[in-house]
Parts: sequence; C-alpha cells; structure tokens
Amino acid sequence: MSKRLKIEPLVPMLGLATLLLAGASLLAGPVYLTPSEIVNGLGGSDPSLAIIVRDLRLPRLVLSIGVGGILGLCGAAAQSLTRNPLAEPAVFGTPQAAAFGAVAVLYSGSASAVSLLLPVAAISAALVSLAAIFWLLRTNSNIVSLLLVGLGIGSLAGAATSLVISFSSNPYAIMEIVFWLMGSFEDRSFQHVLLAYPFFIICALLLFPCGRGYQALTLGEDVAWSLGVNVRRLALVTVLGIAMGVGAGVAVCGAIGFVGLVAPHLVRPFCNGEPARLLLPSMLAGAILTTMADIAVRLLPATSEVRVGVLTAFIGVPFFIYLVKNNDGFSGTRSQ
Amino acid sequence: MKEAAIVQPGSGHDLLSCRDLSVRIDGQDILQRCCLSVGNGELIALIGPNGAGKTTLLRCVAGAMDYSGSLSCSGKDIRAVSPGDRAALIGYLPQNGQIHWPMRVRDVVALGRLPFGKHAQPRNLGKDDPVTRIMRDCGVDHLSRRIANTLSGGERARVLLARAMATQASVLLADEPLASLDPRHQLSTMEALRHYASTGRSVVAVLHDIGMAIRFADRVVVMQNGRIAGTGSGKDLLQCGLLEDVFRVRLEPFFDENGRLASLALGNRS
Repeated sequence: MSKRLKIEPLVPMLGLATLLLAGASLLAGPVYLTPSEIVNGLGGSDPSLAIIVRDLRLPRLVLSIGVGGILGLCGAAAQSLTRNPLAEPAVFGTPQAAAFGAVAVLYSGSASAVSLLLPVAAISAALVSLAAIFWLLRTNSNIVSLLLVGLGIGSLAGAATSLVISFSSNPYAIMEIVFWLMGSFEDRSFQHVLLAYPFFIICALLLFPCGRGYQALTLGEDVAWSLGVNVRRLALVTVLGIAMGVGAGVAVCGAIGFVGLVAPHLVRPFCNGEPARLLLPSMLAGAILTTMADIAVRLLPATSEVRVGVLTAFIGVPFFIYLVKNNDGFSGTRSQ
Repeated sequence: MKEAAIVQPGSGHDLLSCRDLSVRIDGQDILQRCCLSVGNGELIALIGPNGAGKTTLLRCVAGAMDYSGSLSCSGKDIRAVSPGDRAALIGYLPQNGQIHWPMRVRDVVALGRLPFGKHAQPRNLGKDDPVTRIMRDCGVDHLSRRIANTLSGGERARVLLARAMATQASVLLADEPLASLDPRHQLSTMEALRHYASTGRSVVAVLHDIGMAIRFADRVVVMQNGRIAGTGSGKDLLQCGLLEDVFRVRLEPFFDENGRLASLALGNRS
C-alpha cells in the first residue's frame, strides 16, 4: 500500500500549482505588478491598477483555469468512456460544431454588434450537434458506433466551417475567423465568465458522478452492464457533459486543442490507471496547462499575441512525448 | 434428440430460472425458447459446438443483451430488479476479457465490489476482506501489485475470474474460464468454481473440455443451434450418445474403479 500512499498527495499538489500559477498570471504581463499592487487593484483604490487587475487579468485568469480544467476533465471522460488513450473531447464532434456556430456569426459580421451572440451561437451549435448522437443512443449503446458518429459530425462541422471561410469575401473577416479558431483568452470580460461558467459547472456535475461507470467500463461494456452500470445512459451523460463544457469553452475562448488529449495522460501514471481517480487530477492538469500557456503568450515578444492554442501544444507536446517514452505502460498499451 | 437424458427444468427451489428465452438478430434466431433452471449449490457446465448460442444465453442472463421470454433469479423477475440489485444476484465473466487501463491487479479484482459501495475499493482491510480472500482462493494473491495489462494471458484470465467471483453474486456466469489456462490451473479453476457453488451459490460455466465438464459439473447442459438439446449428468449424456451426435465426434470414456470418469478419448467419426 506504500505506493498508493505516495500518490495520494497528487490532488493537493496540483491544486497548489494551480494557485501559484494563478498568482503568477495576475503578476505577469506587459506591465509587471507587485503583490501589493494586485491587492490595491482588486480593492479598486488605484483606478489604473483596477483596470489591469480587475478588468483585464482577472477574467482572463478565471477563464483560462475554467476552460483548461473543463478540457482536462472532458478529455479524461472521453478517454474513459471510449477506453481509448487517443480520444479527446473532439471525437464527439461537439467542439467542431461549436466552432462552426461561432464562425457563422463572425462571417455574418454581427459579432461585434452583439458581443454575446457569438458564444450563444457556439453553445447552441454544440447542443444541436448532439441530436445525431442521441438518435443513435436510443437503440445502440455500442461505443465504437458512438465514436464513428462523433467523427462524422466533427468532419461535417469542419467542412461547414471551411465553406463559410471560402464564402467570405472580406479578408479582414477571414483573418478574424482564423485567429479566433486558434483560441485566445485576450480581451475577455466577466460577461464571458458569467456566460461560460454555468455550463462548466453543469459539465462537472454531470461528469464527476460518472467515475464509477468509467471504472466498470475498464473491463468492457458487457462487464459494466453486469456490474449494474447503464452503459447507454453513461454514454449519453458523458456526451452531454462534454458538449456543454467544451461547447461553452469554445464559445468564449475559441478552439484550444491538445489540452483535452494530453492532460489525462500527464496524470494517469500517478492515478494507478484508474479512470475514476483520473477525473479531478486531469481537470487540474488542464487548468495548469492553459494558465501556463496564457502567461507565456503575454511574455513572448511578438507584434501581436501568440495564440494560446499554439502555446498549449508547444508546452505540452515535448513533456507528453517524454512521458510516453519513459512509461510504456501508461497509455494502456504496454507490450508484454 | 435423445429424450432419455433430458431432465425437466423448473423443479425445486431454483436460484436461476430461464423460461422460453429467445433472441432474434437480423431475422436469425440466435436463441430459441431456451429453458434452464439452476439450483442452489449447483455447478452447471454449458457445452455445445461453436455458434450454438452459449455466449448469447450468458449475455442475456448477465443483462448485456435484450431478449424475449422470462428470466428470474432468487424468485425475482430480473426485469423488475434495479441494475444494482441485479449485479448482486448475477456475476459475469465474459470470454477473452480485456483490461483496458494499466490498473493494479488488486484494483481490478476490487472492481467486482463496485455494485456494493463507493468505488468499492476496500483498502487495508487486512486478510479477511473479500478481495484479499478471493485473490487467495484463485491463486492470484502474489500478482496483487502487478500492473494488470502486463500479465500473461493465463494470469489475466485468473485475475478476471477472481474479479467475477469478488461480486459474491448468487449466480456466477463464466464464459470459457479455462481457455488459455495450463492444465494445473484448469484443475484449480474448476475446483475454485466448485467451491464457489458449494457456498450456497451456483455457477454456470461454458466449457469446451467435455471431460472437465463431466468430471466437475453437477449437470451438463448441451446446446445446439440456439436450443437446449439436453440436460443431465455427464455420464448419462455420454451413454445415450447425445454428446457424440451434437459434437459429431467419437467419444471413448475411461472410468476409474469408483466409476468416475478418468479420461475421455476423442476421435473422428467414421
């Protein structure tokens, strides 16, 4: 049992790392602040500090933690449900559908007029994309069929997004769409936080209780059924949770790839491979990844900010490859 | 069919009772009006040629498949029981079971306790918690700390059997528990199943080794083309020639001085 005891502090350690990064995220940027300046800014005693801390950095921080956390959680749920280490939230097609909803609004040019129209369209598109999956799950609980339908929806949404881009005659609109698709936490306000967080909370409330079902699915669908898990309902709740969480994340911050795939892998070796114990650490690892990436994009010298979606890949991939190389059993594919 | 060997099901106090169980997929009858009753303490061997419907029958009983007909366990209609309660009544070991994540063997076995509590991970409970005891009974306690997907095929099969036994369900359904086991572990596994049944539960095991089925099972149920072709003691089924008809092989039994089956020679039918 000694090894088990060694890995238990994982969650507090990840929590502490998230808090430290949150502090760093408030301190760092084009203007470096001291901790006392942050307190003054939060208190509102200095108007210019208040603008930097309360209006610029705080919503950005809250969103990067929320979006990263949800991506990590949804990635762990997607991998556990499909029992596939290659899975990520995008395998169900909902992020692509959300991106299409947002791009359609950007194309129509109404995004700036009603700033909330874009996220609302993105979340709506994500939920609509579930229709095909729900129709499938009425009669079929086979996870492979679910994956195939999800991939189909993702491809369709991707094609629709390309169609909108190719129809766009305005080069400025195309640039806006392309940059938006890369994902960013820049210039986000508490309005975005208020819009996305209720969905994040519903997503977490839906996915955390699924841990027991994911645990049973380790031994396959038949055994899960025999252990009293309704696999069909488990799939439905998982896909709904992912659509709400990731849909809302894409809606407010654009498409941030890779976090959903890599976050579960970063923590799986410390969770003994157990899907139920993976959810919370994976959520924290996702939050850490995006917050680190968001700090880095502000510090890199560039004429315009490097997009956070680019940075998550640059930070995550080398570590990811190192882990895969040094731990051949961690993705469930260890050779004999 | 040789009627002499058929014992009518449904008598006495049955732990598990299937009546007219049928499954039809894409216009093809996979199971046709199967009736089977399993009594308290019984070890039943389910045998039959490939494609006879043995696995389908087990999957229906395990709740992994839809069926028509009726199925009751401990006198309760299984459709009226909640999934959690059904898990306490019926345990299931599928054939060629997989372990999809690199979990420790002990945690895999503990999955059998899942229906009975939060994540059902009894930790540090000493030597008498059900998981430790069952791992000892199945001879896999020395593998406890190994990563499950680094085990050999035979070791994995024994770990998965221990997982199914850890449910302590009233009826244990085991689909080919002897496949991939060496002869010594085939014997010890049959003894473990025998022991499981002797504790007031029952076991239905799909077997391909007719000799093992006859030696260890209280009753042998023979399936063919989605139907139950006969039920009876192994010796009766051998004597009436049903096994030879169903498997289309020649069987030559050798009995020891106590009249127990010592070995069974197989040959092609001329």
